[in-house]
Amino acid sequence: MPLMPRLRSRDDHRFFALHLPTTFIALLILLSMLTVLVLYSLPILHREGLSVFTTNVWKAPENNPQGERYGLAAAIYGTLYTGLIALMVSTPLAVSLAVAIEEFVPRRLQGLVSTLTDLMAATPTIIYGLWAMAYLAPLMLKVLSFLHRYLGWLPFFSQPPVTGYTIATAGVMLGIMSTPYAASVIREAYKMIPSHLREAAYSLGATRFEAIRLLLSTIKPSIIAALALAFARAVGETVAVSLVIGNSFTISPSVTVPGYTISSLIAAQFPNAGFYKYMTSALFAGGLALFFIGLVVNAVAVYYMRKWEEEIGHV
Amino acid sequence: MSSHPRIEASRRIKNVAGVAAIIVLAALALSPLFHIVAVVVLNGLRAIELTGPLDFLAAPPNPQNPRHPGGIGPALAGTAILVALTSIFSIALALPTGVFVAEFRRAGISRLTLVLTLILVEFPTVLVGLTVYATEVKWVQRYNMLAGAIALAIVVLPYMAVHVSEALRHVPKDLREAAFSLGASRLKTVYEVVLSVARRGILVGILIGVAKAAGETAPLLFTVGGFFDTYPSGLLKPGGAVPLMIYEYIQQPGQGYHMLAWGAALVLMVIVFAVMIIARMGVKEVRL
Repeated sequence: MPLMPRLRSRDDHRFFALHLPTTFIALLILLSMLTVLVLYSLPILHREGLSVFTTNVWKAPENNPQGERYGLAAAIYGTLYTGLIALMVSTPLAVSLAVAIEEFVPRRLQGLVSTLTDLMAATPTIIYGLWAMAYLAPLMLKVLSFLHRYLGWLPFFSQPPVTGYTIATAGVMLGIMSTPYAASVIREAYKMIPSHLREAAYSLGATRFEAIRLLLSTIKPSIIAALALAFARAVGETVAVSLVIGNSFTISPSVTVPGYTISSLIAAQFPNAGFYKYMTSALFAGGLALFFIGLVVNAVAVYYMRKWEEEIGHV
Repeated sequence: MSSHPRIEASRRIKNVAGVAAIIVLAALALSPLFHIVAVVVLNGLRAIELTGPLDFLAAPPNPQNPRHPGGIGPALAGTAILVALTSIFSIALALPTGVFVAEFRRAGISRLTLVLTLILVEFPTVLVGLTVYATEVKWVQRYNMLAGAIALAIVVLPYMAVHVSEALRHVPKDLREAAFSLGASRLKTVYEVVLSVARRGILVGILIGVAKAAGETAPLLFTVGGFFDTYPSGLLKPGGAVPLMIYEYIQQPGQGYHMLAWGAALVLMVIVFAVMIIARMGVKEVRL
């Protein structure tokens, strides 16, 4: 693919030149974020080196900058762990919702169900947070206590839950929250599967379920892209998570304990960070880690999205 | 021999179980929406009833007194200002970006623009807030509404740009060729003919962006300051917004705060759903 388009006339050249600056908008946004995050992280990187990403400490004594020590390991761990739980919740829900709308919802109701899906995807995350804080957390406390009692020998439920504000609560909320969005991405792809594939499956004697599984296997790249986008949403979510995750620097395989994510750590600590010499810088270093996580996850999503578009072009 | 192929029992059971699982999981996926709507309406109405619907939208909050909790007027005004400014900024940038991506679909440079824009679509929004804090807020030397609008515009811009380019994709080629044959310049052709043909799709993209701008909290955390008692007095002055108010108030001890948070959530939900439903109705009418 050539980098520059073929421009046939002066009019074309003028049009192209006028629009070329838009290329730099997205680039400028990404680069200015990276620059700011790096510059503000320098003091803590200078002081603690890369161990700020790998240790789990948060010592912020008042009026004693020498005693300050920050490590983001718990927040990075919590970010990935809650994202993973969110994926485990949203994958079966999103795939089922997408398939159900296309296969089982009567035509007359399809518009209604997809409108509901859109509304659920557009519901502000702070409302999910409010709901999860007041209703999901108490429910999760009961569920997790039950799981701890009967499956406590598993490392995931080894700690007794004290409150409903846990890693698991945040993960489940994020999963619920990102399901409708992932479902609409999967459904978009499912709709575009050529009908001859479906007909071929049925003509070979496949059952409905077997046909669905076959059709889903043809849009695998788009399912991966949808799940990457859901993961990106989960990783980036800030306020809703900070309301339910319990805000504690814990690294434990158990999902029944409170934790932190990078975003919720920034949201919770930033207002007070100005009172300490290095805390702001440490939070920006967390932002830097989040930047790279977000970049990788979104790049994976875009890559698989493109791959699917290429495949659909060949079918 | 029967005309239907015989299906072994095990496959039939798998089929029934599989289909049932899909339907149950799909219902489960949507069920939180109903519960959320129900509890937001029920809890939200309590504060709105005490204050009166119009006063709730206009009056300042009075969270210390749960019997007269007041309203969300200043925060709602803040959200209105932020959404208006964000729309201006993001439309001004998203329109040419979407046009660039759609018009030069085969060129590497516009592919690159699309990929970078797509990467930004789900980028962690808290980072946008931090970046605007470290630049604009530091420069102005206090939290201000303009900073919030800039942060929201950066969050919303990629959504709108992708929607615009998608909408332009479906405009038939012969329309633009007709415009060219009349001697119109490319600029005129695209912005007067192609854009007006695709206007519904573009409008939908803009409305989805507006709904997102109204509901986002994280970009506002370190930018607008979070003042909910007084109306914002200028673009370079601090202010508040409805989602931010919910976030701050629900964390305060005291019933008055919580009632106001739920009432604010109801207002926010109604605004976002109304915008989305208008957008959906727009989608249905796309006919050429």
